[in-house]
Amino acid sequence: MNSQTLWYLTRATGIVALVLLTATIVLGVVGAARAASPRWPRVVTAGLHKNLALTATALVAVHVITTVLDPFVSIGVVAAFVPFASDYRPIWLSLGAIAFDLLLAVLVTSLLRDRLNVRVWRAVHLLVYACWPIALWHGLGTGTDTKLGLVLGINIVCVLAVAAAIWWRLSLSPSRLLKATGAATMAIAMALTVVFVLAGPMRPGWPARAGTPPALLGLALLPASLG
Amino acid sequence: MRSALQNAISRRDDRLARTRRLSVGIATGATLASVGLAAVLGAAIPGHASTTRTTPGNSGSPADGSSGTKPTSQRTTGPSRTGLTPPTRHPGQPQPSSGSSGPPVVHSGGS
Repeated sequence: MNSQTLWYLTRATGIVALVLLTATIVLGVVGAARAASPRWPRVVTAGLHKNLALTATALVAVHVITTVLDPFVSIGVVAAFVPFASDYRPIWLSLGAIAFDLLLAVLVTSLLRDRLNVRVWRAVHLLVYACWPIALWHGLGTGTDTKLGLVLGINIVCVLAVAAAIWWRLSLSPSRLLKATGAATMAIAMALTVVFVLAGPMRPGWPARAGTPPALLGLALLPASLG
Repeated sequence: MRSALQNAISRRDDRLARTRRLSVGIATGATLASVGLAAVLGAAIPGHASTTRTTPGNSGSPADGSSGTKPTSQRTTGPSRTGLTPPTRHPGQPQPSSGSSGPPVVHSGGS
């Protein structure tokens, strides 16, 4: 398997993992709201939520492995878990490491749920609401294909799906304060994401501004005005 | 009473089996989607190993690390289309010097 294949697999598994993580969150929100129907009982929602999370984690593992194996950029195993351990787009790669750590924490505590205090498990489980946007920003900032219509479309659908699920969940809450806070947080997060995409990855010179090492960009050969 | 219990167990087993079938289907679909998406990306954008001669600063040029908006006619895709071989240079190694007077050779940004 050559470097090119690894690169494409890294991108593809990352994108599909985000889609699965999105579906996992939507199912989690539906399950938390105890929504069910005769044709779609809660046990199916809970089972799918768990299995989708495991599948997403497996894909993230493949994403990490192909990244580490790709010889083009020197991203070590440590950088997959520890933020700022690589000099390749350090901020955006670190977001991936943080998202991976959060995902592992949620996964491990869920597998050990019977042995944990419910409050502890729930507190850790809510971290997934931080994991998902961090993973999204990691993909937007690190990915070199953010401009591609297909990838951009997938990201938009994922954002809208999670936003709709959270909005629906908030609408069921009796607390007006929670509704207002949640809606405001969501709106700000979405606005920041749109601004970031338009001002960052969609603009020329993003790889240089994102922190791609000059040796990879060939910046030594480019005019200083670039980026 | 026993019949009701058996019915409940049967329903539960059916639901669990349905969940398993759905999960296996989704996992298979995700695997196929990953491979398919990798192929689509391979056809749509240049990998990090592709090189092209381009005017610096063009929007969507490989210098931006993403050529998704670049016209197909100008796009340089993977080695199979260009005949270019992936660089064996490690990121830490120095850039090979270029004596040509033409536009610079630009590597796209990587993964």
